[in-house]
Parts: sequence; structure tokens; C-alpha cells
Amino acid sequence: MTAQAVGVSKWFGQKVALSDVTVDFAPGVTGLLGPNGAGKTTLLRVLTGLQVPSQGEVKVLGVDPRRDRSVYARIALVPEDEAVYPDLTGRQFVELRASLGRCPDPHGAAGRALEIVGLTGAADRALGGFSKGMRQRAKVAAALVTDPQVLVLDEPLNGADPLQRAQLIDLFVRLGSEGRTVIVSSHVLVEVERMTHRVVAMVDGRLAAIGRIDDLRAAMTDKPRQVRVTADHPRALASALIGVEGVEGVQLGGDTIDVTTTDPATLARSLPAVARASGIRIRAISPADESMEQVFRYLVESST
Amino acid sequence: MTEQIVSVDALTHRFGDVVALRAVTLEIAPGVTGLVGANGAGKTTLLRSLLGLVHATEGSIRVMGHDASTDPIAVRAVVGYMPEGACLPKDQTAADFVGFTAEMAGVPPKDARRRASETLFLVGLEEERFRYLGDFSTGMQQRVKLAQSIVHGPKLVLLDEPASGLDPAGREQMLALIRRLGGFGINVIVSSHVLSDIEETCQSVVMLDAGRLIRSGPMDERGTSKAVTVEVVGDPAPLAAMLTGSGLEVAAVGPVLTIEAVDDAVFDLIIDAAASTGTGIFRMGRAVITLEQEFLLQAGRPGT
Amino acid sequence: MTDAVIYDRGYRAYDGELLGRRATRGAIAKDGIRRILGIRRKARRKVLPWALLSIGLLMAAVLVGQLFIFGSLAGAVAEGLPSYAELFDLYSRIALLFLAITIPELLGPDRAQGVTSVYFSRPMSVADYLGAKATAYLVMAASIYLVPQLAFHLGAAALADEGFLAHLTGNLDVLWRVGASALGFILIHGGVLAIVGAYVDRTSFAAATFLGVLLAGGNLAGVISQAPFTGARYASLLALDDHARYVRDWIFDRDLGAYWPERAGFDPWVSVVVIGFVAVAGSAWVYRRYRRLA
Repeated sequence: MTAQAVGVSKWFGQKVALSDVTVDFAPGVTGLLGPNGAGKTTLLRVLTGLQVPSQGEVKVLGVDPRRDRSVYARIALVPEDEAVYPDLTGRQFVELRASLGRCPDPHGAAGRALEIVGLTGAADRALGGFSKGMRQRAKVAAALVTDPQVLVLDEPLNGADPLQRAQLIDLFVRLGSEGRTVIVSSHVLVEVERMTHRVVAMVDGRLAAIGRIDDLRAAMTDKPRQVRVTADHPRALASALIGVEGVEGVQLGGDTIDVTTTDPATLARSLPAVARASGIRIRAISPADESMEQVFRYLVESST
Repeated sequence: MTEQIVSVDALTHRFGDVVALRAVTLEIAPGVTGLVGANGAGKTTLLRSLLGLVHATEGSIRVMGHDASTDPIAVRAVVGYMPEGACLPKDQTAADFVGFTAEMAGVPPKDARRRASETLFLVGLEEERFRYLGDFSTGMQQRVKLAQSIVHGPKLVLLDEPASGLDPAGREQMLALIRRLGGFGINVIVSSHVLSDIEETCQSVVMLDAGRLIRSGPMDERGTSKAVTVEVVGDPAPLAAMLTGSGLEVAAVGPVLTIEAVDDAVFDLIIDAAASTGTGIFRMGRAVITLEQEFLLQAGRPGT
Repeated sequence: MTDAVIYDRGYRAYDGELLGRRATRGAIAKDGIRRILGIRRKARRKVLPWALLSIGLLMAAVLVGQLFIFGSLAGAVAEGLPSYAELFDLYSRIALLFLAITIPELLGPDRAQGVTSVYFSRPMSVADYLGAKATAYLVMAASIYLVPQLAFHLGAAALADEGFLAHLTGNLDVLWRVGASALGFILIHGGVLAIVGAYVDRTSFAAATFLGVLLAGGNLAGVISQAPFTGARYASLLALDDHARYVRDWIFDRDLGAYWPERAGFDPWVSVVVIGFVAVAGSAWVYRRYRRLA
């Protein structure tokens, strides 16, 4: 079960929002990353059939969503900005979606969906009075109510407070582990990292990278790894480490040293040996540029 | 003893049936302080109280030496505010608007023009400042909002979700700017739902829940856990076995070992064992309780 | 060692003095005037206000031209041509249009675009904000009502038989008449505009609502006031625009038309009271609304 774009391009007048994008989203959670204006929202709208590609093909669950409308019942999009009907209550909004999606029991399904996002208490208040975070969760509930196979979320944590964020992250992880295809676009990479290690990165309407973060990092062979070591005698340790195979440089800084190496595995094995041999206590070892944020920054840098 | 920039004493704010703040007593030290809390926890009311925009039902609040109840206008002369959400007029240029906000704070017109230029430059807007705000991207708008908050040279600025809507690069730049403000001796209070941002930029934190103060104080005051986590390269079993043999409590999840530690000697034991078994260490360090974990615990729900 | 200096171009704190609330109000008022006239804004915003202002001046110029043909003001009036009061009447519709379109600009966009949160974080009160906006309105309203009159006055003085200065000094009463009449319009229109502008965000809708309430509403009230049931005459008090014109006629001691309050049998001073009431009540209502918004 996948969502697939093949050679998709999309332009609005002169502006090319997507340029020859070919990507396949597998079940589980995938992060969609990119600077503002990279085309993420356009890609999401094309995948869910809300927008027609200027070129190329889209297939979701095996069909083109614009040709076979029945697949809509199994896709759900939570857009970033959407006006909601301010006079409907949360429950009415979700039930409406349930009916439109031909749920057999709209009321029950809505109740369950609202429970999942933690809006049961506020469900019978008008949407107009909802805070941004609550509106966002209402939209997630509306998306979940049809039990979609493909769930596409554009900045779903916008406006959510820390507790709600944690709950929503857990929710998306769970939905992904149930075999659904969950695509999350977000700028807060620290949070995307908790949902998944798989990303699709876009810059300027084109694909910049696809894959697992650690594999992408490993593929960046032109960028040596950085590891920060906290030790009691940093200078002495630095001096000893220079002799290690693959180490390209050591930077001193207070009680830490930053080691640059082209061979992280060798460094990992050498550190304990070198430390023991020199009698220097190490308190912390932390890779400095493995995070999704750092990898993404490298990707964008190398794309421009 | 440095003068506290904010002193709150038994501050209670009641509006009809809603109690937004309950007998909150806290002091905020100079520097960069984070303000965290669930939606509806009283953050907005506290921020508005800091600006002298709401009257306390009971209690008092002093900001930068002025009483916010009796002297709210004096407070606003020395405090800057960066609102969340859209707040810029579309038909003025950045330079013109920021100059205007300076004049509104009482800066003489010629100085206002100069200050506007300097602060816009500081936030990274150069030729763009002569363009109309209606044409600005979200990132540029956030910068303008920050510029107008410091243009009149306040000693304290309140930032409400400063990284909202920014892409990863923009977020990084904004957080760096906030740290820079701290470096310039401008006191900052940052309100944000993204707790990792708060962790990166703030030295102290104020936590609210349901109108009550949960914690207020330096970030480091959080206990560090007694455990040490070690992530190895390859098979963790030999290392785990050796450490257990030395009498340590070791828990293993995949390549990550969690070791109960009584004192710093455990680091030597780990390094020694790793060197003996030839195990590479990818990452090692005291398990840190993240701000998020602490917040979720305090707010009455289990942390992840 | 050397004379070389490297300057630290980092942040320079601002330790300058901060002027007080008068400066704040002044800044808002000036910005309001610039906003109405489209100064420091995109070019297209200048078109409407300046076009309307020009029409007003043009009318004055045309009348001066007519005077020229007839030799002098006295001569022209003898021939039945328009003088101050009539000029007033002529372009009062232009003035109305100008103020209807531009005054909601002062209040609406600030709310619609959320700029109020920036304003109220500054060292000022709601009264300062509204007072400054009111000042901008008064300056603009005075300009459009008085500048063409002044132009006409100067033109008439230039053509006067008795000489420029003599005409001016001999017709000082004109000045207060024009001023007082203008004030009547400015106050009653301002009162209604303020209320409309405090609730309606979009300038065009606010202007349309204002014109509708004032003119159509006024006429409707007037028609009702002529109905035969008791107390109907009081409906004429709602013909707000007519009050200002009634008072203007009274001040100039002319009779340029039949106004609803007049036809319902009210004296001009009643209109004066209504004008004052609308101005005060409107301001109070707007203040209360903004107190809750801030």
C-alpha cells in the first residue's frame, strides 16, 4: 500500500512548484522536510488528489485519486491552514466528515476519533472558540474518523502545547506501526525525529534526498563526522587522538574536544583504548552532526 | 545579589468564573528565561500581566522595577513584546513601520529612524526593509516583529512563539538571535511550546499548569538522572556482560545500555571494559532528563 | 602601538531619552494622516484621497472664476451666484465621501491585521490611541471642509472692489460661520463613523455602512417623521446629516433647503444638542469597545 508520484511537475503560471518529482511513500511514518517554498504542500495536495499535476502521474493505493474518487475514503489530508466553519461544534465537524466519508456509524466513529486526539471534553463547543491547537486536533480527528489507509499531515503540531505534542507524536507512531502510510511535513525536526527515521527532503520544488537519516549521513562521505568528547584532560586526549587512523582534526574547547574523522567506527573503538592508555577519564561522547536537523542542513547546503 | 527583573507575589487573576492564575509567586533572574505551559495554563495571562495589560485580582507584579498595576505605562516603556501571529500592516514598509513603533514608544523621530535601521540590520534584513510588509515571507515577518520589539531599547523583551512558522534554517537563525540578545544584556522571556527550543536558548525556566506555578528557576536545577547511557557499535553483549560482572546494574535495549551509576568512577569502568572487549562506543553520557520529560511528569502525565 | 581602531558594530544599546505620551499620540496621529493620504504607502492609495481633495479645490476655483466674470463677490451674489454657504453645500458631498472612505482606514485595518497587539504593547492607554486617531480625523476633516472655503475666500478677497485686506477684515464673520458649520458636520459624521469603524473591519464595507446609515437611514427617518401618528416627529431626530445642514443654514442665516428636523417643527438648537450628543456618545461607545479589545 503506497502513495506514489512519478515524474510529477506542477506549475502555477510562471512559478514551478514541483519539478519532476518521483517518490514512493511506503507504509509507516515518513517525514517530508524542506525549506519554506520547497513545494511540500503542493506535493501533498497533488498526492491527495486536491491538485492536478501539470505533468506526471500520481497513484495512491494503486489508483489515480482524480480518476477513481472512491479512494478518497481511504485517504485523509490534514492541511496546515484551513478555515473551519466557526459555527459547527467540534463533534459536528468530525461527524460531518464521517458522513461524507460514508462511515456506517458517524456518531460513534466521531466520538472515538475525538477521544484519540483528546478533544472529548471540548467536542460540543463551537469551532470558532477553539484555540489554534484545538482546531488542529479537530482536523486530525476529522481525518482519522474515516479510518484512512493513507494519512497526510501538514504541520499537524502547529499550536499544540507540549502535552498535546507528545500525544500526537505517539499517535502518529502508532498509526504508522499499524501499517498505515503516514506522511508528516513539519519544520520542527527534533519532533519528526521522534516519529520516524525515514525522510523525503525537498528543495526548490525538487527532491533533495530520500532515505533513512543514518544512511543519508553515511552517504555524505565528503563531510567528515564530528564527535564531541568531554574529558578531564582534553588537551592530552586530543594529542593522543591525532594518532588515530581516520582522525582529520581535533578542536579544543574548554572541557570538551571536537574530533573530526572520516572513519567513525574506528574512532569509536579507539577512544576507550586511547583513554585507558593515557589514563584520562572520559565523561561523555556525543556525535555532533547525526541529528535530523544537522543532516537536513547539510542537504540544503549542498543543494544550493 | 543582582536585581531580579520580574517579581511576582501571590498573583491571582480571576475573570468571571475563570481563574487564569492562582496565587503565583516567582522571581525571574536576568538572562534568557523560558515560559512553558499547556494551552490555558495561564501563560498568556502572565505575559499580559508582565505588560501591565491586565489587572490582577489579587497580588502584585513588579517588572524592571515598576509596579505593573499602578504604573503599567512605565512598564511598557522599558519592555518590548513580540506577539504571536500576524500583526504587521500590509501597506507599510518594514523600515517605516519599525520607525513608527519606535516613535510610539517615545523615541524621538530622528533617533527612531536610525534605530529602526539598526535593529532591522541586526535581525538580518537589509534591502528588504524598504519593501512593503505585505510582500514579506513568514520568516521575514518574524524578524520584523523581533526588530520592533527591541527598537526602543528595552531591557526586557517578551517573545511569544518566536520560531512559529519558520523553516529549520529560519528556526536556527531565530534561536541564535535570541541567544545573541541575551549576550547583549537584554533580558528575554521566551514563551514556546517547543521545549527543545527553550532548552537550547534559555538559562532559566518558568512552568505553569492550570494557573499554578510548577517550577521557576535555573534550567540546570533539574536533577540529572543517576544513570549513564552507552550506545555501542556492534554487539553490546560482551560489554554488558563485563560491566555486570563488575557489579553494575545494566539494562540493554538494542545497542543502548543503561547503567545505574553511583559516582563518576563508572565512566572509568565503562571505558575500561570497552577497551578490554574491543567494543566501540558511539555515544556515552549521563541520561539527561529533558525539559519535555520533566514538564510531562510535572503536568501529571507519564513522560515518554 | 598603532592608531588603527576596529569598531565593534554589534548591537548598540539605546540609552536615549524616551519622550512621553504626547509624543506617542503625535506619532499615531501623524501616521493616521499619512495613511489617509497614502503618504509613504503604495501609489494607488494616494489616488482617491487626493482626487477628492482636488475636486474640492477645483470647485472653489470654478467659483472664483465665476466671480471674476462678474467682477466681484458682491456683484456675483447680486446675480444669484453661489457664495460661501452654497459652496459649502456643493462640496459637502465630496467631503462626506472623502471622510467616509478614509476614516475607517484609521481603525479597521489595525484590528483586521492584528496590529493592535503591537500598539497596545507600547507605553500608552486606549484613550491615547483613540485620541490620536481622533486627532488625525479632525485634521483631515478640517482640511477638506475648510481649505476650499479658504481658497474661495482668498479668491473673493483678491477680486473685491474694496481691496484685498479690506475684504478680509470686513468679512471676519464668514470665518466663524464657516468654521462653526464645518464643526457641526465634522462632529456628527465623526460620531457615526467612529461607531461604524469600531465594528466593521473592511474599509469599503464601513464606508458603505456609514453612507447607508447616514443618508438612506436619515431619509427613512425623515419620511417616518412625517407620518400622522403621535410622536412621529421625533423620528426626524435620526436624520443625522440634516441636523448639520439645518445648523449650517441657521449660522449663515440662509434657507437652502427643507430639512427633516425643521419640517418636524424643531428649532435649530435642538439639532446642536443632537450633534453634540452623537459626538460624545459615539466616542464613549468606541472607547468602551476598545477597552474590551485591548
